[in-house]
Amino acid sequence: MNILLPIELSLIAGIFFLFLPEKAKLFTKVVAPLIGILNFILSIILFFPIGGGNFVVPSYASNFVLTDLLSRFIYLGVGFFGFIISLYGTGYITKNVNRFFAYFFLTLGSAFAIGIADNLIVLLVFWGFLGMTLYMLIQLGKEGANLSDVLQAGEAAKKTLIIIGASDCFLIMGIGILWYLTNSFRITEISLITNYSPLITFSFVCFAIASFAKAGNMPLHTWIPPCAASAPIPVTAYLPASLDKLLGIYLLSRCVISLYKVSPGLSTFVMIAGALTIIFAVFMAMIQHSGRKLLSYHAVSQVGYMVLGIGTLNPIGICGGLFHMINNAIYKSCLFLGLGSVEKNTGTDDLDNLGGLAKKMPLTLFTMLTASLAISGIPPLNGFFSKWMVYQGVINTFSSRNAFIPALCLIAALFGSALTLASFMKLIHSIFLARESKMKTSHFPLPISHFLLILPQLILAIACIVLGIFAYPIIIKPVFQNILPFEAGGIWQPEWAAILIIAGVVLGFIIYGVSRIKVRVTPEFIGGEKVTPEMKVSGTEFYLTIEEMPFFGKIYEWAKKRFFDIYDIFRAWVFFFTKVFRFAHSGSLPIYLLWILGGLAIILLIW
Amino acid sequence: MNILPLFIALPLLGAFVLSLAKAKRTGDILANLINLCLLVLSFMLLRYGTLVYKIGGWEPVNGIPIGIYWVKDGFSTLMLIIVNLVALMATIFSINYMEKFTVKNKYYCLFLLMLAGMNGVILSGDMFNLFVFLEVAAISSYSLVAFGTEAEELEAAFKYQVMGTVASGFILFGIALLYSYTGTLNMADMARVIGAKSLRLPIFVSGLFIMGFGMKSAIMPFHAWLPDAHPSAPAPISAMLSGVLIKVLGIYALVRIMYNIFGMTPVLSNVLMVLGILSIMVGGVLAIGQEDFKRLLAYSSISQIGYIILGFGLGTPLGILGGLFHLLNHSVFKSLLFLNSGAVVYATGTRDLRRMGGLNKKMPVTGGSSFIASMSVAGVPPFSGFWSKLVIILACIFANRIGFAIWAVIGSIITLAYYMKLQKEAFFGSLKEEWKKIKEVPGFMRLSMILLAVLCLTMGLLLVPQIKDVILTPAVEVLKNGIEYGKLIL
Repeated sequence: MNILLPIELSLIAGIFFLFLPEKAKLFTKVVAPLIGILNFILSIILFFPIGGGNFVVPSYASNFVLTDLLSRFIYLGVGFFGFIISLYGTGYITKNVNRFFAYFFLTLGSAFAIGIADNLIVLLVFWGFLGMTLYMLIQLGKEGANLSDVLQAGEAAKKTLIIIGASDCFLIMGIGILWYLTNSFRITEISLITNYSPLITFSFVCFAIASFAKAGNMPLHTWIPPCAASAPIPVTAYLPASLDKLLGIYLLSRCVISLYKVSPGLSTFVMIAGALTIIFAVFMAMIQHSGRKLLSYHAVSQVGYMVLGIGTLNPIGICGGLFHMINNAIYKSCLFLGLGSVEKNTGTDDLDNLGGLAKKMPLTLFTMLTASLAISGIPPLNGFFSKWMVYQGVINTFSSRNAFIPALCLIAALFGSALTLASFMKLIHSIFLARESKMKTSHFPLPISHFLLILPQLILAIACIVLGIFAYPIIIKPVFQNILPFEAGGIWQPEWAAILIIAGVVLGFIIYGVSRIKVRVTPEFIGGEKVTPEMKVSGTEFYLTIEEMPFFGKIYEWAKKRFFDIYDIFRAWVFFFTKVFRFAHSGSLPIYLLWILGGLAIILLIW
Repeated sequence: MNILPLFIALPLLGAFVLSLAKAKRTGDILANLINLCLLVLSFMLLRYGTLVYKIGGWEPVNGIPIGIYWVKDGFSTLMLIIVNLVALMATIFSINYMEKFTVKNKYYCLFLLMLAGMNGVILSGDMFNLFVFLEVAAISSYSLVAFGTEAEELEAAFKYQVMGTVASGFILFGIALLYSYTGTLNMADMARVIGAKSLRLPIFVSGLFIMGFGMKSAIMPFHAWLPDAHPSAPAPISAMLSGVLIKVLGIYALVRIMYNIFGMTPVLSNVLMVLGILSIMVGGVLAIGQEDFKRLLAYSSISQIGYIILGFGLGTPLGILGGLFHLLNHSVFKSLLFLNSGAVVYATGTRDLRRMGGLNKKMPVTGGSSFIASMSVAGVPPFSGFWSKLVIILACIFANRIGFAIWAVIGSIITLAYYMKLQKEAFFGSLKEEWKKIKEVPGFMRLSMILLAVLCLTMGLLLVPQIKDVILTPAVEVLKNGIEYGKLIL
């Protein structure tokens, strides 16, 4: 089958929906998920068999298409998330349905194309185009947005496109330098050693900037929190949480695997960038009061693990990074989709106002809890497995260079994992376990849309479990060990662990059943008094102590003022120069004439 | 039959007829017809290689040309196409837009004079005629800037005129010096004489020309008139001024002289590139601080002209290609943006971005086309501006001018930022109460905006080899051949 088929299908669907009048939205709601499913099926067919893949590359595209296992794997991943989000979007989006799906499919087609592009210019074009579709998707805004939400969405969209677009410009630089040095645009033909010249190092840095901005690694992550706060939830789950991660990390791993032979010094820098991202973003996540922002900072923090893994340069680390990329996309989009259901039901994502939803939304509790445990790296779920591989990758670097910095990175990663768990305790507690707040909850208008919201979450949550327990036979051995062969030693065996865990739980039940311990049920009380709604403990204040510590307090204060936001720093500088230049543009004709003569004099003098 | 004279004769004829015409619709019909003819004719020129038209059939005496020559080569064809294309779009737009002005026929009369001047500059084969047509175009543009005759417009036109005249004076001085040294005004002959004598004179004259033509094309530090003049003119005229006038009077003339008569030297190349980067940065940084729709676009023109100069300054074939291509693209998207600003003014009566917001809801065609144009300038794929930016940056890197490439990259980030600002403040967001009743602009205005938007979407195709060989490559060849130009014409 033609490997370009899903690309063509998605792009045509996107353009079609773009011109379809909004009245035909029922048609869209039927057709769009079908196209999503079809794309997924096509990408599965194209992916197997793993050895070669079952596809044909049309002759006109033969110089532009890369069909190795890594590319097809990304292709499959893109197809999967396209399928999941097209289902969820159908249930979730009620306004601007056609525009949503138009940009959705344009994005999907571009993401497919990036995955299999061999020509860097082709990659660049689709890469940049994604920035624009994301911009348009954010502009769609939240459901039931008020005036300030609209303004916020506009600001977020602008910031997103400026950061992403700026990184695209650096990507052009990087590609240009590669072309200058090798006279080729083809990924398969280029292989450079970075310590050979500063120019090569610079081009690697350009590529790293592009992939960091896309994936959301610090310091280019600052578009993700505002984007998550104001875009429709499916958009957040689709781009920043899954596709952008897939593509950004894909580009970084391509750089490390094929474009460059990275020197250890440079790799240490990449590792440091990853480790810092893990730790700083998780600290930011802990203090958030909005569910969307909390998740978005975790979306940043998790990128750190992938970057750290890929930065180690050894096969197990890189594969760990890639595996973590897939895992993160799964559980992070699951969390966002879960939050979306909560928001749909209650009308808010404000953790202070949520609570007591465990009884009302048991399935969402299950999916979000599973995903939370997975993201916190609780064995035997998938997040643990990939983190484990990343740690091993970091440990393997100890032998080849000074172990001090990698060791620090490892500590940061471990610590970050613990803090992740801590902040998800807060999230789950606030939404599901805290006392019910006064907030009114609505009910889903149609059972079918409820089904469309919950099904994708269930698929993702089950994927977290399956990919955790059966990681080795399903994905590590057939896929990753074929992308980059590595020793399977030190791999932990989640099947046994899962059996032991299940056995433990079963044993507990048996003991409980056999021993017939008496259980007493009493109403809740605190200090002898019955609990009233005013005594609600929302989870948002769990970590207030950290926020108020002297050192952290200062950092948090600065972070809230956005002192660390590279966008604001750049902006401040530009506006500083605007003021300076404006001073010179007084509007007085004699001064302008003086400039002209002065300019002439300088030009003649230089000559 | 040689069609070259028609490019000047037709608009001149139209201008004279219109200065006498009384009937209201004469201007609309005649100007559009003439511009359509010119556009068709300029596309027909693609079929020919180099064409020379000698007025009165005066042949050279002893190999020295004595008559007035009109010369068409790949570079001039390209310029003619873009000038007449933008002119046609501007006149289509004017049909509805100029309704609110009183003397529409006079407007078209000046418009056609300006067009005749521009076509004349492009086709002229000798220095003196180049100067004459340059003045024809410039003087009509002075009066068109003042066409609204409000205080602000008159002030802008006055400044523009004073500075334009200073520039013209220096250009004339340069031409006179050249004439006294080479004994000829014919550009081809001049190239031959300078090439043979290897004079040092061109250095001083180049300085004069960079200043003079630099003023016409608003290169930093000669740009100060533009932010006043371009926003003050009626929107279709702003589109013409920013879209093509600064390119024809400034860049075309400068590049033609530097490449084909003097020949590029490394020093010249460096000077142009530095000026280019200066324009990019200063124009961009000032644009981001503007709250006036048209003023923002005007500063953006300065910045984008910088890219074009940077490309030409590189002097490599790829750089020339980038410069030319960006010139084409900039003509299209900048004239579209000025037409958009005109449409917004037509509907709301204001140019102040702070008062706008959410106009997309009421003006989908204006909003959509301005979005396409903005994305195009900002260099987002797959729109046209992305490709020319890509070529220019790649050309900088390929010429091993990494520093210039980095500046160009920073400039394009700033460009993206202020177009995002424009989109956010004017077209996205929520609609203000005072604009609840506005309507989308009338049909002809929509038509020209849609046509230009389609061009923005599709002009990237000009880089496809088969199309490139027809349109861009001949122009690049002309400039690449440098002072060989003289031998080809004579």
